[in-house]
This record gives sequence, structure tokens and C-alpha cells, in this order.
Amino acid sequence: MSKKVFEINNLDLFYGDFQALSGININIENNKVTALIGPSGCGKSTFLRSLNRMNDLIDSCSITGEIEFEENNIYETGFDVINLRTKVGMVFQKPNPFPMSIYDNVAYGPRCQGIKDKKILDKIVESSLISAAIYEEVKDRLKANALSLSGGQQQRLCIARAIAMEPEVILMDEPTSALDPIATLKIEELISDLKKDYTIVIVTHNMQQAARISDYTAFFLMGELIEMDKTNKIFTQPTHQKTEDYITGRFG
Amino acid sequence: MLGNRKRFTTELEDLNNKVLDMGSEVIEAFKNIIKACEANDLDIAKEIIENDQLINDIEISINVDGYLIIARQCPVASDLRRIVTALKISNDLERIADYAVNIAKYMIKTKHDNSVVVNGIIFLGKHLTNMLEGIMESFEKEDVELALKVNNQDEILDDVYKEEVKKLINIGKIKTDEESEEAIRGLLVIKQIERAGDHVTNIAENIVYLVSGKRVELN
Ligand SMILES: Nc1ncnc2c1ncn2[C@@H]1O[C@H](COP(=O)(O)OP(=O)(O)OP(=O)(O)O)[C@@H](O)[C@H]1O
Ligand SMILES: [Mg+2]
Repeated sequence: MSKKVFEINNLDLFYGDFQALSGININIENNKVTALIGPSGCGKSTFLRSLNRMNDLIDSCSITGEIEFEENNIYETGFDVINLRTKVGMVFQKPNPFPMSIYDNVAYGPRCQGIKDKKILDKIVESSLISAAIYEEVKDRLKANALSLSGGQQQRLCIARAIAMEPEVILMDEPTSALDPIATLKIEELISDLKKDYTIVIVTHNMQQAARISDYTAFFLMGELIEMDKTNKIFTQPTHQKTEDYITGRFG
Repeated sequence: MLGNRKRFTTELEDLNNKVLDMGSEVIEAFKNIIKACEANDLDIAKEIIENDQLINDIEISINVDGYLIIARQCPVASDLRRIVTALKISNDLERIADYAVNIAKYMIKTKHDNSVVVNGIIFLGKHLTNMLEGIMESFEKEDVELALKVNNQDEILDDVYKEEVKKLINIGKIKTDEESEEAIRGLLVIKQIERAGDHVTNIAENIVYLVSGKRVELN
């Protein structure tokens, strides 16, 4: 049994009166890729955001139940949210580089953490870009504006930016939905590489992607977790008919 | 996506129907073997050999369709199992049909009509035909219980086969050289039916997999 990073017990989440998640129980395992799948509006992004308390930014959002990160309840009063977000990084669906140089994008997080030494920053930037499989493409133009990169490069830059924080977990919300097949493949390879050092939770609408890259797959439907199992099991013999109907496209 | 699903479903149904057609042809081949033996009719035996081309063609067409659907639709779960099962069952059916051809060739080649061998072919052939009918019905209805029942009949086939072997060995011991040679040939031909039975149990395993997703070893 490998170690679990997150343990979620009876999670209910509301936006005002609307219940977006009901009674979710999931464990997220260390150094594994967990894919979240399910139809639009079923609560995947909501669930993902609750893991690093990004939902705090939404006023109407309220939560009951427990989310334990490394055995501490992250919604307990006094819990250090800044530290949580450092350890649990996020990559969004649309690449969102800051309007500054490639170098500064990656150095941003470490600088915020108080690192000023140029040599250390150089090292972090270089190793993060290497880990994100984009270093070769940008090493000669680190001072160029990040917005001048292609979409796929921007997405990998955002992954480098997340890695630079030395997180333990990386949450990815449809990271390849705007990318061409080649850039998608690069990100997928990257994810497989990254899981040696990180735990990854990824939302994807691409069933083949979930089947290719994840170890575990969780299927959500209308705010409920219908089934979570080893990915190989889900895609060859899912237990629940609803899962079967969804992944085979018979849904609706 | 959903429009495509409809087309996908039709493609899977077509594939299924081809397997059923192939099954009917193979059953027909063994019924004809029995007929040919009972009536000592070599024309029927020749027909079996000619008709094998059709069975091979259906198998190829199942393969071509199956691979194309996999490439196009990236099937998962029961869809994937259905395609894999169609490919595997058609492979077993093709082998069973080859055994029918071997028997037909034997009938054409041998001049002597050895009643022990012919009766053995008829007896074992009828048992096998029943198994084939049962297994194709269980495939059509996705009836695991029936598949397992048919699978158990393979043991009976094996027992009957062993009895026939004993008879032929005895003939080989006491008769003339020519008759001994006949008996050995007879052994080889009856063995074909016993082998065909093993392929029926493979089909049973695949039906279990199709329905439950579980791989079992029945043989
Ligand atoms: N800020 C918000 N305020 C109110 N309701 C919200 C908010 N964000 C999401 N919702 C609602 O919560 C439900 C789940 O939304 P969520 O974004 O988690 O879905 P999703 O599974 O990520 O869908 P998609 O695949 O389309 O990204 C939806 O019904 C949505 O309308
Ligand atoms: Mg979403």
C-alpha cells in the first residue's frame, strides 16, 4: 500500500443553496496520477479547487466534511493556507503565464518565498524548465516575454512555474484541452515523468488521455463520486453501469 | 459524439452478426461431415473443403472490421471486450473449420471404409455439433451459464474420444499391416474432433470474458 496524500471524508460543497458536491470520499495516493472524469458541470473543477482551498476565493462557497492533507484537516481554523498552496500547486485549463519574461515567470514563486540569490534562482529556473520539458526550446530566450510562446509552450511554462515552488502535489484542470496532439503528447509524457517526484490530480475530458496517463480514475456525476478504481479496471470492466455508459459514450 | 455512438453501435452489431454467421457455417460444416459419413458421400466432403474459403473470408472480414473499429473509436469497457471477443472467437471458429476440412480430406483419401473410424467420426461429430450449437447460442444470448454447461460437455467428448482411441489401438494390434495403418490414420482424424472441442472451451472462456470482464481458465 502506498501512502495517501489526501484523505477526503464526506465532503459536501455548496455554492449558496446549490449543492455542487455530495458525500465525496476519496483517497489520493502518493506519487500516482489520479484522473477525474465526468460530464461538464459534474463538479470536477470544484473538487480540484477544494484540494488547495482555491474555493475560498468564491464568497458563496461553503464546505462540510473533511479534507486531510498529510493528516491535517485543511479546513480547520488556523490552518496555513499559503503553505498549503505552496505544497499543492495548480495548473489551469488555459495557460496563464504572467505578462513578464519566461525567467521571471518561473522565478516568481521562489522570489515570493524570499529567495533573492541570483545563482539559486538561476538554478531553480533551469531545473524547473528542464523538468517541464521546455528548457531546450527556451534556454536562449529566457528574457523574452512569456506571452510570445506558443500555447503548448505556455502550458509547459505554467507547469515549470508550478514545479519551481517544489510542490508535493500538482493539480491540473484540463491542461491539454487547448493544445495540438503533439503538445498534448509532450504534456502527457511530462506527467508520466513527474509522477516520480509528485502526486498529480488531473481533470480531463479526454477518455484516452485518462486511460493513458493515470493510475487511478474517479468518475463524477452530478456532484457525486460514482466510482473510483485503478484506471485499467475502469476502462476494461467498470463496476457501475453509469461509468460504463459514460466512458463508452452511451450517456444521455 | 452521440451521433457517432449510434454508428459505433451499428458497427458492433455488424461485427457480432458476422461472428454468428461464421458460427452457423462451422456448424453446417460438421453437420455435413456427419452426413457425408452416414451416406458415404464424397461430394459432400468436397463441398466442405470448398466452403472453407467462405469461412476464412468471414474471419478476415471480422479482423479487418475489428481493427478498424479499434483505430477509429478507441473502444473501452464492454465495447472493447466485444471487439476482442469477436476477434478471438472467430479465430477459434476458423480452426474448428480447418479440422472439418482435415476430416473431409481424410474421407476423400482413404479407400477403405473402416466402420470403427466412420462410426467414431459420426458419434464424436454429433457431440461436437451439439457443443457448437450450444456455444453459439450462448454467445448470441450472452448466457454465461449455458457457456459453462457447454464447456462441461467437452469432458464427455474427451472421454468418448479416449474410448474410440482404445478401439483403434486394439485394431492396430491384431489386424493386418494395411488395417493397422488405417487405424492410425483413423486415430489422427478422430483427434481432430477432440481438438475442435478444446476450441469450443476457448470460446466459452471468451463468452465469460465478454459478459463479466473476467478471464477464466476453463480447459
Ligand atoms: N463560482 C460558482 N458559483 C456558483 N456555481 C458554481 C460556481 N462554480 C461552479 N458552479 C457550479 O457547480 C457545478 C460544478 O461546476 P464545475 O466547474 O466544478 O464543473 P466541472 O465538472 O469542472 O465542469 P467542466 O467539465 O465543464 O469544467 C456546476 O453546476 C456549476 O454551475
Ligand atoms: Mg471544470
